[in-house]
Parts: sequence; C-alpha cells; structure tokens
Amino acid sequence: MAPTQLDIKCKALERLVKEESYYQQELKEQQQHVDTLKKDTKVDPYDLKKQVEVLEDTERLLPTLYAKIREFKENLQQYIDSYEGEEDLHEAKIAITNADELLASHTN
Amino acid sequence: MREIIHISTGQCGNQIGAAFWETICGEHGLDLNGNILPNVDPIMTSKLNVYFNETSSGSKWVPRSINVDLEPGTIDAVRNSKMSGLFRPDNFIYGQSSAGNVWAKGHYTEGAELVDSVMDVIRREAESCDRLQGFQISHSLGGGTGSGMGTLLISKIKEEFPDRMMATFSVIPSPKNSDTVVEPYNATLSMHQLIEYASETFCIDNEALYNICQRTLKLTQPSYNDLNQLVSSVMSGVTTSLRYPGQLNSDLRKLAVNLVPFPRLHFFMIGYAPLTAMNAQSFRSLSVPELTQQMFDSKNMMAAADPRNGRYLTVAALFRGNVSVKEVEDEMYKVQLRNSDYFVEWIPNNVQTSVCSVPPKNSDISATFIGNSTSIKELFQRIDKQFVAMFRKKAFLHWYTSEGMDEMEFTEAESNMNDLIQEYEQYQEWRVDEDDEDMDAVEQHDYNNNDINGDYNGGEAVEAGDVDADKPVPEEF
Repeated sequence: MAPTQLDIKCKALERLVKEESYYQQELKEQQQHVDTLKKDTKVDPYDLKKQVEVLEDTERLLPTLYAKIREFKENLQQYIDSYEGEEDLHEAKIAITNADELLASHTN
Repeated sequence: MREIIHISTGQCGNQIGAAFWETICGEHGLDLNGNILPNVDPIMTSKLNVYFNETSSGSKWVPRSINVDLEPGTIDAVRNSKMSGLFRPDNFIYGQSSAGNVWAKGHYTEGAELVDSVMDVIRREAESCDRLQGFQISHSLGGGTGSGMGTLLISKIKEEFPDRMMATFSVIPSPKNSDTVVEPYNATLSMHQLIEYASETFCIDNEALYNICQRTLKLTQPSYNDLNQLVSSVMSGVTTSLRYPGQLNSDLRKLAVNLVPFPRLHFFMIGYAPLTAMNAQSFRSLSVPELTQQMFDSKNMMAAADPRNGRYLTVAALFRGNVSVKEVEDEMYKVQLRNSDYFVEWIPNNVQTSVCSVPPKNSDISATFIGNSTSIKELFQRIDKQFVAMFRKKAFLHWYTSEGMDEMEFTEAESNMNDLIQEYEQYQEWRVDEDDEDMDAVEQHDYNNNDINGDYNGGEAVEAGDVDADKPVPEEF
C-alpha cells in the first residue's frame, strides 16, 4: 500500500529528528575517542589529527541537518494547516512539536 | 545503525551489483552464503549492518539488496551463480517482457507495470531499518530497464522518502562498446532525472573503462567481465568510508555535505589505483607517492574526461592498507601545491584525505579517488553531440512516441543537460580575485514544474552570487 502525503511528510520529519539524535551520539562518542587518544602519548599525532577531522565531519553536518529539519517541519505544518481529509493529524502534530523543541535547543 | 538499501536494475545494473556484493562479502569476512568466516578481524564486521541484514538466528548476513529487471535472464544467472545462497529470494523482482533498450518502455510502459511491486519490497526493507541513511542504485544509462525503470524508481523513492539520500552508480554509454544506436537518447533522458533526483552520482564511463582495459591492462578485446572487474574495484573503493569505522565521509549525507557545493553538480569522477587485470595480482606493492600520482592521473579515471581541462570543486581521497598517515598527508599536500590552479580557491580545504587499514582483496595498498571536477562536463558534451545528431533528423523517435512519449520531453531533457554543462563551465571560470561586480552570476536552470512534492533536491539551488567567496558553505540538499 502506498502511503498518503500526510504519512510521507510525517515519517520524513520523524526520521530526520531521529537522525539528529544519532549524530549527537556519534559526536559524543567521537569526542571521547579523541580525548582518549590525546592522553595516550604513544599515539601517532597524525592518527590523532585524522580522528579530530572525523569529529569535525559530524560538526560540519549538523547545521545542514537543522536547516533540513526546519524545511520539512514547515512543509508539514503548511500541509496540515490546509488539510481537509479524514486522517488523524495527531502524529503529525507531535512530530512538529518534537522538531520545534529540537530546533529551539540547538539553534540561535 | 545507518542502513543503506541497494537496488540493482537492468542487465548491467545487476551484473555490476553482483560483482559489488561478491567483492564486499570478501572484504567483510563473509563467505558467499553470508556466513562469517572464522577469525575475522572485528574491524571488518563492525559496520556490517550498513549493507547487510542479520538473520533472526544471527548466524547469517543477507545483502539489503533488491534485484530488478524486466526480463528474467540476468537475474536467473545471478540466482544460479556461486552466490545463489546469498540474496533474499523474494527480493528478486523481474518481468517476462523486455525494455528492448528503449527508455520509454522502462519508464512509462513495461517498467511502470512492475514498479509497484518493487516499491512494496523497498517499503518492507525500509521499515525493518532502524536508521535508514538512504539508497544506492546500480544501473546503466544507455539501455532501457536500468535507465528508464531505474530513474522511475529513483523518482518514486524520492517521492516517498524525500528526506533520504539517493546515491547512484550510473554507467555512461560509449560508442566504443555499444549495444544500441539509441543510447544517447536513453542517457540524456536519464540525466534529466538524475540531475533532479539523485543526491550523488558516481559516473562510471564505459568509454574510460574500455580505454583502461586497452591501454593500461593491454586487453585488446575487453569483455564485460573485464569491465565489471574494474567497476567492482572502484565501487568497493568509494564505499570504503561507509563500511569501516573511524572514517571521514562515513555516510551518504556527510559525503554530500563535503563534496557537493551546489545541489545540481553532484556528478563525481572516480578513480582507482593500482589498476590490475582480472585475477592478476599486482607484481609489486606501490609506494604512497606512486599511488598518489596514479590516482590523480586521467588514465586512472573511470570517466573519459581530462581533469586538466577543468578544475576540482572538491576531492575526497582514500588510501587503504598499511600506509603511514603522515606520508599520505604529505604526498597529498604536494599534489595540491604543485597543481593549485586545478583546485578552485573559493572553497578552502576542498581536498579530504583518509586512510583505512583494511586493504582490498587484490593488492596490499590501494587508493580511491572521488572528485567533483568541472571537466566531467566532457562526458555530457559527448552524449549531447550524439543526441543532437540523431534528434535533428528525428531518427528512431517513433520507438519512443509509440510508447506515448512526447518530443517535448526530449527537448526538455537535452536543455536541462545543456544547462548543467554551462553551470560547470561557469563555476570553472569563477575566480575570487575578480571584482565581485564583474562576476557573472551563474545562470540557474529554470525549474518550472519539476517540483515534485517534497523533493528538496531541485527548486532551491544556491544562487551563485550568494556564495561568499571567503567563506563558502557547502550546501547540502
């Protein structure tokens, strides 16, 4: 069964918000990894440098992800604002609230 | 984990797809039934679930692969090969007709009849993923199924998963190794779709593969097997960062953030070193300086375009095997210093280098190159020239109009590809030292009604003039 437009937009936003938590986790673990390497005097400084770059790779990505979450959130909001169908909008509204909270805590 | 769903479409797509799976099984300590071999280094299995599903009993790994074709032949061959026990049987979806090398049949008639059953399987796979990162598709642009139905699938997937990444391994046709006269039509119609819907396209140019076989590997009459061997090396190379821990560009989204400064310009030139013939081991290990030199050489590029006719917007280089990170960094730095004019200066630090300790199967060390070079336009110019020659006379157009296609779609596709060529040309000429006022804003393609709901890939390309020359922020789509 093909999903409805509401389903598609709602799932997309939910996936993006979930993805952000994954990147936060990745950031935390990579930071710990870098800290451990820094304490180890036997570590090749070039290996350490690479792992710092890996950390920066995730940091560089996050702003683009927030922009995307905002885009998809606004798109879903507009869609439900003018929605006249029969589907339950509860899940969509929760997704929007979650996205709003996330954006409020990570931007500005 | 960050799962990828792989889709092989058409004869070529299924052949290179099968070669890809065979190669990566070997690189992750799996036998061709998906069982983990004894005493495998944990680094090889730690990210297995990017490409494989673990069976519920936990004893076997199954490729997250969907194999699609409009005729049964190639899929039957895969099912009856030494990999018969690897794939999930109900992920083979095929028709009993054929696209007969006509894009319209793959995209609008025969393919459209099969597409819903493929989408059902894609949905089932997506639902079982914890954190799906996106899709990758292997197909050729010259035939009917991979090009027509492949791009139909891409647009359907983008419609349903507008937030996920879409990577394509797209084989570009060449008259040197041609199946049919209408390849330029099929390729141009496909390009129109890829420009709008793909997040990143790895261009595999049959012309370059053919040249490599003849000139470097000294094979006078290269077979498809020889070409596929090259393709599987480079596909393994460019996906290395996705498959092993601790890497830069560790997922499809990061790859796009790092390599795609403008959403439409996502067509990568890929290269590999050392190049070796099928079943041949390289006679000796190369040094890091030799690998670096080869990797940047146009003879090692899987695109028949000379990077020296253009400039690199961005580059990612990946070395594999037991190499010193310092030596790699030093060599890469030297290349950039000596060739600084070939790297755009308005994207600072646009070359990324990484090292993965796991070597590929057939050599001790190797290097893979992913470049976003403006010279890739030479491929599209080549196709356009062939397209125009036939379209002017309306040759073979009835193969398409009889499937319900309008001539207009050909005109639009060609114009979109031409716009892409021009955008590459304009970014190539761009220099920061020019006065801002004189800098021509790069004309953007007119995105009239291509805006399929939720497709955030098109419709909002970066205005060239908006890019701050001092601090360009790579845009993601």
